[in-house]
Amino acid sequence: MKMTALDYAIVIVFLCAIAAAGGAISRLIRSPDDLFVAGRQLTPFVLAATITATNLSMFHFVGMGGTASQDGVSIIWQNWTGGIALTLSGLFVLPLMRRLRIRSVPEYLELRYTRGLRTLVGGFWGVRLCIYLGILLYIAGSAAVVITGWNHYAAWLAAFSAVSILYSAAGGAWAVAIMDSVQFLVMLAGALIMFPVAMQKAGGLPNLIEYFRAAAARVHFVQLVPAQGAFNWLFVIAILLLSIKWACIDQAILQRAFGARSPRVGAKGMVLSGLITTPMAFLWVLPGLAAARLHPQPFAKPDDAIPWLLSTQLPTVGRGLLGFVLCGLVAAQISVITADVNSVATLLSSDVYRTLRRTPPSQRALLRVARANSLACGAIMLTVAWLLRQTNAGAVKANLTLVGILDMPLFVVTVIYGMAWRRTNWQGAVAGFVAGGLGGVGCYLMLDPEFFQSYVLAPARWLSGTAADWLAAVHANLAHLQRDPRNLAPIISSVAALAVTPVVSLLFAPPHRMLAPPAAEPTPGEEADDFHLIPLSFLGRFGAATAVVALLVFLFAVIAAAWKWPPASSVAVGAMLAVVLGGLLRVYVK
Amino acid sequence: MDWMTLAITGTGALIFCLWVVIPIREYRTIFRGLRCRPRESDASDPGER
Repeated sequence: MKMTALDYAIVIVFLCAIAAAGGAISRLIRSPDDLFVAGRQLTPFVLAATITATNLSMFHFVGMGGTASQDGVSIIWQNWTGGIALTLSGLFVLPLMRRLRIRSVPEYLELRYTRGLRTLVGGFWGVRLCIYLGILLYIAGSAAVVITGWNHYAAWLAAFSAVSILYSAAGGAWAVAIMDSVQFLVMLAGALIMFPVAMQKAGGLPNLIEYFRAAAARVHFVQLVPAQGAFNWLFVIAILLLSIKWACIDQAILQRAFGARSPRVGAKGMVLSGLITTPMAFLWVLPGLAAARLHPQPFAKPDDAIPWLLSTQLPTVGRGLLGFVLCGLVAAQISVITADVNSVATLLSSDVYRTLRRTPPSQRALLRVARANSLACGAIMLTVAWLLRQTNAGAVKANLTLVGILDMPLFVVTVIYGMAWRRTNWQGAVAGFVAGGLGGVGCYLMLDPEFFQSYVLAPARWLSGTAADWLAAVHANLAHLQRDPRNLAPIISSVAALAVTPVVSLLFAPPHRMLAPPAAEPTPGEEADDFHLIPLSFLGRFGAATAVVALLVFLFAVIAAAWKWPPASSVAVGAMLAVVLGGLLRVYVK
Repeated sequence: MDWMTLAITGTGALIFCLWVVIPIREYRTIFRGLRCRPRESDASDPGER
């Protein structure tokens, strides 16, 4: 079953509408702050919608559902730990950064350490995001080909990139914020169509759960924190660490929150986004289980599961449904792409171009450069997406793996030492960043058999047979860990950065910069800053304490799952909800 | 439709309704504040602290 003319019409009208609306919003752009942070005018629910739309991509709908069809429901923690992380960042990190009226995370690095680090990280991050955008576009184009059966990859790339580049270059953060609010609703509507249809076709959710519980080999499919399997308790710990890192330093997410009217509004937006993502995650993970039941033979690739489910099941229910759900998938992907294009423009203009100039550019000049950077980013994104199709998707895994490793050390030097230890200097920050990156890469090279053979053993053999034998022996001794480099790498890179940063900092002179630079005065239109890190009221303190204590309970329950503690999953879910609800209470009272 | 599917779909639908109604009100406030902003200028970018 493939797309009908009605389905195509719905998708084409949707793409034209968002391109036209995004272009029209460009009239709102009058200053660089408008282009980068939507004039710092965003309100809590608008912010929550834009943060959620920036977070959710086609990867969630297609990738996570597909993973659930192969390995079970525990992949849902990728979203749920994201909700925990958004809450914690909203309570303890985002308000501090928003108070400084910065536009990017590298700008914070300049205030805390040195301008050179800002330029370096801004440039690195800009390039990294361009490549990541290429991967997002590649996923969108490939999924569109599979779902529609219209095998014109280049045409899909052109359609998606033209729409997203047009309105993010012209309308900047305003276009991203306003269109994200719309696209959030479109993707949610698409998921609300897909979910009940998938459940009904699979015989209902209770039956689906019983079906997997009765199958001995797949009983872990319906365990939320399994002791075994690819997405076991260790995965939950690792993904929690990565999620906290993501919510505290990810430029695309934080830049949306920097657009808040005040630190408190930013905190509300982050916590609300975590709250709504929690139940929504069921909408794209559980259809993966339905696909596994309806298609008993394993899929060639897990990513084929949801496109198969959509293209075979939806048209049997009603005409036009497939086109509408495809709009939801496109909305999810375009909202992420536009947010990231806007972030690249900010990083390359505000953190690289601006810091390399002797005198500050005029507002008009900075706007021109930012728009040119958006177009350049689009060109790189298209090139990467095209090359990925010509080579193979293994490049996607390698990129996400290696680049992802470097994020944890950045989190350590930016947030943990940057905000909590006055003595940290720029030398320690740079050394910790490099050491963490090397630790994570080393973990992958030693534990992943494919990486070990290609990048360690072969060069070592070429240099010295004895060294190669010794490395092979070490690799063999680590054999019991070989399945988990994905989970261990972020932990090892964090530990390396945590250990090296203070040692190197103590070897050099104390920094001249302050731990918390003075807050900037609010401009007209912004709300007064009334957010205190330690709440003033009893209810506020109760909410913050609940969030922190619940996080500790969550960690305990997840670790206890390794010993097959029966209530581990229930306690972990309850604690996760307590973190988010405690956070919600805290941001809504003084 | 079974009760579990209904509960999850209903929660999603509730979020949908809330995020239609409340952002419309919020956008009214935002656009009211945008009317009296200065035009784009050649002045130095004030973003740098």
